[in-house]
Amino acid sequence: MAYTVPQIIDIATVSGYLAQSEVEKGVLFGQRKDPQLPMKIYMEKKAVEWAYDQDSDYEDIKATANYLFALCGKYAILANYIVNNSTGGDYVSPITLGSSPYLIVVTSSQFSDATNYNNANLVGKTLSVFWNDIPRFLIPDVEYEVTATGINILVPGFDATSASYTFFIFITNGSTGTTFNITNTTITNGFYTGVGGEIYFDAVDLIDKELLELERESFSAFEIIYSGTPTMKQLKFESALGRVTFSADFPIAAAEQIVYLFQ
Amino acid sequence: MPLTTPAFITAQSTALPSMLSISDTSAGTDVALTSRRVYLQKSDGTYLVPEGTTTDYIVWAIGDASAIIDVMDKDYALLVRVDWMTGTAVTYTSQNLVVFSLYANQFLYQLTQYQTSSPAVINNQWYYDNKLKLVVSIDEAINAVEVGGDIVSSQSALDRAKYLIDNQSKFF
Repeated sequence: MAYTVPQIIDIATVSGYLAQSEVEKGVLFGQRKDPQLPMKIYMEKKAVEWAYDQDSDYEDIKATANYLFALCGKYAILANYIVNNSTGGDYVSPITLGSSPYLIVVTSSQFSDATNYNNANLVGKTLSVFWNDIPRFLIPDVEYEVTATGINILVPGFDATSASYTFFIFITNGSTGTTFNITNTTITNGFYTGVGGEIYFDAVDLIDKELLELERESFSAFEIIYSGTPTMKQLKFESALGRVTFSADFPIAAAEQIVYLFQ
Repeated sequence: MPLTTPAFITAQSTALPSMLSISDTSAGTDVALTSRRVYLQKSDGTYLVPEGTTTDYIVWAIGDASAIIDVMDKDYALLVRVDWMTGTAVTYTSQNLVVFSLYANQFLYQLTQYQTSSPAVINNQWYYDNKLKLVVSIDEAINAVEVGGDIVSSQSALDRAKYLIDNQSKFF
């Protein structure tokens, strides 16, 4: 069948992308013959498209369109299919964030009453509830139960309104995957600039917080200790003071930048 | 009743590339209007007018819905302004940044025509490189106005295209 000029313009548009795709694949699978083909198709398509827009009977329009079609070569066949079917084939669906296991950190203040924690994200999901203060997983239907709005802790004497607890609720949803999504947790960063020679610094924003990570300009991957005297790549964190102390062997340099994460 | 939305459009035709047509697309009417003035300001700040015109503007009779102005000796990026006059007073005004790339596009198409009849021309060294410069210059001219509202960069791109056209025997 003979294609019309607008059809050829559409085919050329898609062919240009197909040719470009194959050129880029050439990086992995061996160079194709003409890496400039996508550019050539674009140039000729632009000229033909412009002329056709000016006048559908523009001088030599059919001949130049056929020339453009020939330039598309093998890509014209697939391009024609794509133009007429609005698809180039199937593709791998990306994983929807949250459909795989993820974690919710819950503290006492988030409970709606003494034993109930409500969260729409828990409803209808498969859960594992870890009580960090014991610390172990709770037994389903014995130590906790799933409600219509969240979970209810059944442990005798449990009262979130009078004591401070932390739970980690894993939502497995009955499937496996790699996405790990943390919600209801706020991680904050902070900075300290060295004066020069000091081995500790106090940060107001760290008081009564949990230090998660700290990096100095020349050091990282510190082991965090909470008592004693730090040595080598250890740091001591005193939450009540918001104080971070390093080994005496590694005093902080003047203007050294220290960044830390805490919650 | 006033003009509620003073407006106009411009066009250039392949049949008569030197002619700029301008049409009034305003909403509303104002019977008190007596004439229009068209200003075609170039990127260097001067005004483009037909040969023999002594003013910066071109008069466009109020009774004519459109006007043809023989002024396009090459491609231009212009600030086109129309003033609707009542006597010597400007009653309404409207302006558009417009890029006219008909000459460059015509030449681009002519190259494709030539390839159709003489396919071997593409084997000439630098043929496609220079054709790509032409294509890019056209795109640059249009983008400069449509994206950046920049007729200076646009005119510069159009002049690069014109250089290729004027020296086609060397480049193609």
